[in-house]
Amino acid sequence: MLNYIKAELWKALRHRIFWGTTIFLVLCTALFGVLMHSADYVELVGGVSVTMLTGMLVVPLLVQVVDGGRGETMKNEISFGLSRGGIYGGKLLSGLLLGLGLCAVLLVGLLGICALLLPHGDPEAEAVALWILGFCLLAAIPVWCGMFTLCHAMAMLFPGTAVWMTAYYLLFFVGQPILAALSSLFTGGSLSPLLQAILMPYTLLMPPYLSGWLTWEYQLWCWGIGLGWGGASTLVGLLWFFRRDIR
Amino acid sequence: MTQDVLVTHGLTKRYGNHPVVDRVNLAVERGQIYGLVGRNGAGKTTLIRMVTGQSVPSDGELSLFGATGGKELAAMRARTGVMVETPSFYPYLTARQNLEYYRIQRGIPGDRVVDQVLEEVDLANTGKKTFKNFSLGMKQRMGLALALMNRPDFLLLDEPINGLDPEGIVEFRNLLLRLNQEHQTTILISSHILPELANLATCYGFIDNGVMLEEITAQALQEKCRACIEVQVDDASQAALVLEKALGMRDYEVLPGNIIRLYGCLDRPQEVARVLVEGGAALLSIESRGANLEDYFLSMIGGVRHA
Repeated sequence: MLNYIKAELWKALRHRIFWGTTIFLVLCTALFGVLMHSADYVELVGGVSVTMLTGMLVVPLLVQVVDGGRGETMKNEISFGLSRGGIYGGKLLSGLLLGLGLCAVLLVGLLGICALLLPHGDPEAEAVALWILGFCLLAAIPVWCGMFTLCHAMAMLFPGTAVWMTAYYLLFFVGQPILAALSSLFTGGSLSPLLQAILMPYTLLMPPYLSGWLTWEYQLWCWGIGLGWGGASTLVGLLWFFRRDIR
Repeated sequence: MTQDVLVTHGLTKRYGNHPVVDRVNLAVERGQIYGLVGRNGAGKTTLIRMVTGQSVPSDGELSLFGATGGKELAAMRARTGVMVETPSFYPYLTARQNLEYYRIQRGIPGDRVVDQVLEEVDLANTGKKTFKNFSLGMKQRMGLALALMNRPDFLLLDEPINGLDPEGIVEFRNLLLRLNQEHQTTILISSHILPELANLATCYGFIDNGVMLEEITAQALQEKCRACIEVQVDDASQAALVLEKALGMRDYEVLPGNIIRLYGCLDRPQEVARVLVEGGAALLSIESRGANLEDYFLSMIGGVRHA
């Protein structure tokens, strides 16, 4: 497994999409920093804490970096005697490491540079803002991992990049809201916040949740829902992957 | 003592109710070059894909180096080198990068192995050219390079010479023969190009409509295909005496049904007929026979169909 992950990361660093995504995100981060230039450091940190949602949108690009071309090359790996579970898990873990690593680099870079450039005010307020950012980040990680795992499962199940990418964005923008709307029909028009969060996990990272939910209960929801989506999609993906023929 | 590298018992693959490979029994012994012969769609590729783990058998068993399932079988697959259908690699990587990726993935120590194997298949000078810009022949060579990278004990090659130029085919044949003779690498190779297969194989398996029709050694096949005059008479023993006396014939065999195969006088069938008639034998039929691998295969499947 370790060799597999090493090889995937080695390959990812030679992929144009990875560098394209990285440059795009660096530019976005720089733009964000420039736009916050008039603010002080506390406001920047507060602003960063509500950007977690954007990570959901770049998930397919990172999945493409590790899973792209797998339709054709998987037969090589199977023939080497690598287990199907190892291949599925290896690609998943590589993608997660890549995404979380990229997030860490961008975040540390932005916070570090802005700490040098932006004016500082109340140190206590800065410490609180950083604590809140850390709290939001801690909650965002499992939700992001859950959605990444779901996207990876789609990439492994559906043939063709266009198909699984479309499926992911459709589910994200349309499918999950439809699920939530359907569920509300059965609950008399009112959808409990928990059910809404389960069906649309990305809403957990939106400001309405964040503003009033900085509690450990919220943290528990994020971890439970993120791991739940991740576990369920991995189970379905593995069951299918173990049965299918590789061409 | 021979050792079986690959054995299958009743190996079957069905898509719906349609068997693509139907209860195939096959045995490849250590050191053999096993030629798998069959038409398009006969089941050759599916059979190889089941052996390599790419396809899950619907029924039956397979044993690779004695391992029949689970982690043991997967471990034995690590001793194989495989090339099935068109080789596939990452299009944006060079030949060296693609092989380096697989070297890291498989945990093969020492990056010299990549250069060595690229030299072996004559791709050492491709530089920064990425896989997507390779010709079909170069792609085939890449597939072979990957198959050879772990110095396999057993090579499974499906139509490996498709797309190779004549020079490439000769080099490829010599490479396989060298691997087989110097390293005792066992090879299973399927090909449509039967004359080329005839230059390599020490054993054949003929497959049609998913069914293994016959397994035969190259020596036995040569015996079967040996040029001869086949005569059918009313009394084979009397006719044999006549042939011995009149023509001094010693190299012949008597088959059931009063059939005699003569391996001499091949250019004089009229004389054989005359001698038999004059000797009092009732000559029922006489014909010149002899076949190559292609003729033998076609006779086995009942003539030329859509090849």
